[in-house]
Amino acid sequence: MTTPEMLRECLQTATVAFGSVFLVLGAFFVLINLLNKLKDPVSEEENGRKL
Amino acid sequence: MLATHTLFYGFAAIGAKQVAMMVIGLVLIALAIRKQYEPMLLLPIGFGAILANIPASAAVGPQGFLTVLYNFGIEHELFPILIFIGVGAMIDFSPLLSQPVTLFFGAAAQLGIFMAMLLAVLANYIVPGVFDLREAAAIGIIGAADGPTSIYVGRIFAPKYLAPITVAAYSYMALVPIIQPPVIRLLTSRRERCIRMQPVAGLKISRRSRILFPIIVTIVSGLVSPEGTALIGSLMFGNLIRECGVLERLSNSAQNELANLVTLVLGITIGATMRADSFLTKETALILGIGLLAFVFDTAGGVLAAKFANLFLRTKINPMIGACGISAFPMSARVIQKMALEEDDQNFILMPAVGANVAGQIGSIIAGAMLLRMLS
Repeated sequence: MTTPEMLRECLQTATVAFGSVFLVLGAFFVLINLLNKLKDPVSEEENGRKL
Repeated sequence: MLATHTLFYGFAAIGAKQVAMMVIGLVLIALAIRKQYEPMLLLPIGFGAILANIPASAAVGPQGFLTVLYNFGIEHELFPILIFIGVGAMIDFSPLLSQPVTLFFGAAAQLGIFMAMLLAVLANYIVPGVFDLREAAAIGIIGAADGPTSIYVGRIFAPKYLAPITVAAYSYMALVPIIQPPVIRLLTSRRERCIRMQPVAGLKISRRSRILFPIIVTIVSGLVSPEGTALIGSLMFGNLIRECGVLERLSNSAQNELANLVTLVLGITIGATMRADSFLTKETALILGIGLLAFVFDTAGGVLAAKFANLFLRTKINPMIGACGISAFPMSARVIQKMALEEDDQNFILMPAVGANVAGQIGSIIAGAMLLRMLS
């Protein structure tokens, strides 16, 4: 492979890989926002206190 | 006569290159002891370099213990995986879970990986045929600022350059307090560095979230890039042991005994790959130079991403946080907190800094996994 060919492939790989990092971490951003809506189950003791 | 020859064999056989490598080993040991730069790694690496460059050293011969360790831990990639179990058990993802926006800095600060890869390809214009694309990717991964990922990718893509890649990754991680501040100061104003960040009010991270996070991240990452499953899986396995709340003994062992033992043998094994004949080359000089620039681009990528985000945010982010997207955990977060306090002695940004830092840990593994996926 010549250097210009390698350069072209490098730019292509780097762009796709860097974009993928953003996409995957973006998916984790959505995931975390969903997880943050989760609450721990209320224990029986705490439930009794509330009642 | 025979006795004299036997006694002085080593002195007669040693060359200038071996002596130079021993001096490099001594410098690493001195940096570890006097400056306390990553002593847990630089000291064993330095000593390993000395052991490997003693003429006819039995430590690195075919039956040498360092060769056995290399075959066991690096060739079969066990050391980086075991280290990640320990690191996972040490990481608290709560700062990231409470401020998920820091994930984007963990992505942006991987810029250095791809810029370094590009530079390694461009080096072919200066020294024709010096690096192929896979070797360029392995050099780029120095910018992951993450030792185990560098070893893992380097072993697959560029085994002959594993020693300089690993030494560069660990040495520059140790030099984060020297590399990052000037780049950050260059790209930010004093006013920006003084921005205070408020904790997210009323948000409590549930235990359920902290348990589900490592499991879901492993599954999603594994489906996107199966090549990175070993790395992300071991990191998240360590974290699950920590967060599940029922394996305290295992969590403590992973954080202490496992991490310490593997670090001990990893360092000396990597040091032993620093043989004069393969280390003192123009390729090593290029790798060390490109690796340094990778850290500079990482820092710049993170800071510029935070500045870009501030264009759209009502509540501004301190752009120094972006620099923590570099993986080097927890060194980078500490450096940024210190810089914030130098500008304003009441500015506490450690929590979001740690959030970006652990995001960088995940981002660097994803970046390495994507390169493995695309170039394998």
